[in-house]
Amino acid sequence: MEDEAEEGISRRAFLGVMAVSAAGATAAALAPLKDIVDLPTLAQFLQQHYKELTPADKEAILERIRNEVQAKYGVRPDLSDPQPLPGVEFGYALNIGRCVGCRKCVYACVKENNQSRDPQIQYIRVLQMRKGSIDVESSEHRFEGEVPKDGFYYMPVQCHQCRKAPCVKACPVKATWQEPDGVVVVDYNWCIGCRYCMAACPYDARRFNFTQPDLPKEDLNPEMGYLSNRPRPKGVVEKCHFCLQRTRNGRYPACVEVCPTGSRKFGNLLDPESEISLILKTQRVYVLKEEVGTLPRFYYYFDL
Amino acid sequence: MRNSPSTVPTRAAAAMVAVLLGLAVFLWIDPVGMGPELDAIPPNKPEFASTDTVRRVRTEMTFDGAPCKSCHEGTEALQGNPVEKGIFHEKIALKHGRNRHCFNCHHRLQPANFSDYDGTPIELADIQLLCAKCHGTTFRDWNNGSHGRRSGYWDASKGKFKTAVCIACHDPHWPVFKPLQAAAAPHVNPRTRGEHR
Repeated sequence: MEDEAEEGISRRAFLGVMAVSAAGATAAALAPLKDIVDLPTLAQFLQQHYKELTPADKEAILERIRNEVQAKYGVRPDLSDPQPLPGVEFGYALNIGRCVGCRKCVYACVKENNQSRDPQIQYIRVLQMRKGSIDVESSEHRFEGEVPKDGFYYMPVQCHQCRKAPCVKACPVKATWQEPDGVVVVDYNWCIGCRYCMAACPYDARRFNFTQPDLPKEDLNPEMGYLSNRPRPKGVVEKCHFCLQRTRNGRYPACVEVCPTGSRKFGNLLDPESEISLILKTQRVYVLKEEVGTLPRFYYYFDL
Repeated sequence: MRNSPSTVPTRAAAAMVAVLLGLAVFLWIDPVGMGPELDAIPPNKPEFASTDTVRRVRTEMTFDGAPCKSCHEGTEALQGNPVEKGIFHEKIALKHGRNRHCFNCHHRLQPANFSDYDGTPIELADIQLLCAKCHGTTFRDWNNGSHGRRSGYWDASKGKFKTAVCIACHDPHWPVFKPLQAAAAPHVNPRTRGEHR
C-alpha cells in the first residue's frame, strides 16, 4: 500500500485536481469578458428608435442621459434635442485657395463635439495636395511644421452631408438618416457597429469607437445635442453633423468660427442672400468625387 | 499493486495539471492577441482651437505708444518718406506690392486717419473702406461673405454675425498672409505606422 501512495494517486483525487485545473483554464479563457464596459442598461436596451419616440419618451431619455453624463463627468450638461428649422437646408463651402492647412478646424471640432482623445477621433482630415493635382490618393495628411508648404495646397475633408448618401443606404438598421435640413445624423443608441456605412462612404468621413471613448472630465463640452455631440458609447459610428447643437440654434459651426484664414463658409442654401448661396452663384465651385453621384452639400471653391 | 485501474501515476497527473495551468496562464496573459504598445497621445493644446484672429486689431493710431498728434501737429502737409528722415518709423517693412507711398493710405494732414481718393479722411474704424480703394473685388466678396472670417450667428433672426476686418488677418504694410504652425498631425496607431506612406 505504501508503494501505491508513492507512485499513484487515487482516481477521485485525480479527477478533482483535473477539474480544478480545467476550471482555472476556462476562467482564464473567459478573462476578456471582464473588459466589457459597454453593456447597456435595461432602459438603454429597451429604448425605441429615435423616430418612434414620443415627446414624453424623449424628455425621459434626455433626463436619463443628463444623469449618466453627470455621474461620469461631474458636470450637469445642457442637453437638448434641437429640431430642424423650417425653410433651412444647410450648405458648406470651403475656399481651397485660402486654406493654409493649419488644422485648427480639426481641434476646434474635437473640442466642441466631445470626441475621444485617446484613441483619437477626428471628423476633419486635412489633405496636403500637390498643386495641379486633385488626386486624393497621392495626398498626405501627416504633414507637420510651418504651413503652407511650397508646391502644395490643402483640402480638408469631412462629412459632405450628401443628398444621396451611400451611408444611409448601407445601414441595415436605419440608425443613420438624413434630417429635413439635410444633415445626416446617427442615433448612437440604435447603431449596431457593423461599419457598413464607413465602407460605403466615399469621403472617409465616418469614425468608429473601437474602445470606450476617453474624454478628460475638464474637456467635456456641456452644451450638447441628442443627435450631435453627446458622449458616445463604445462600438458606435460617429461623424460630422455640422455642429447641430450650434447651427440649429442659429450659430456657426465651430470649424467656421476658428478658421484663421476665413476659408470655411456656412449657411442656408434656401436663402438666396446667404453667403453660401452667393458663393455658389459667384465663385468657381467644385464638388469632390462628383462622379460617384452623392450630390454633396459640401462645396470647394476658389477665388484667387 | 501497481497502476491498478483506480489509481493514476503521479507523474502523469502532475504533467496534465501542469499543462492545464500553463494553458490558464497563457490564456490570461494572451500574448498572441497583443500588438505593439500603444503610445500616449499628448493632450491637445488650447492654442490649437483658439478663435483669435491672426493679428490684433488696434483701436487707436499710435506709434510706440504715443498718439500721432504728439509729433504731427497736422498744420502742414507731411511730405516724403519717413524712413529716410531719421529715427522714426524705420522699423516699418513696406512690402505692399507696387503701393510704396505712405500717403496712398495715410492722411497728410490728419495722421491718425487715412485718406480716400479725394483726400476725405477715413477713420480707423472704417478701415475696410480704405482697402476697398484698390481691392474692390475683394471688398465685394468680403461684403458677400465669401472672403474673410465670420462668427456668431448665420441666422439673422437669432442674432448678428461678426466680421473680421482686413487688418485682423493682413498686415497693411506687408499684406501677404503669413505662414502658420500646423497643429498636431493625426495620431497613427503603431500597428499601421509605416504603411500607406
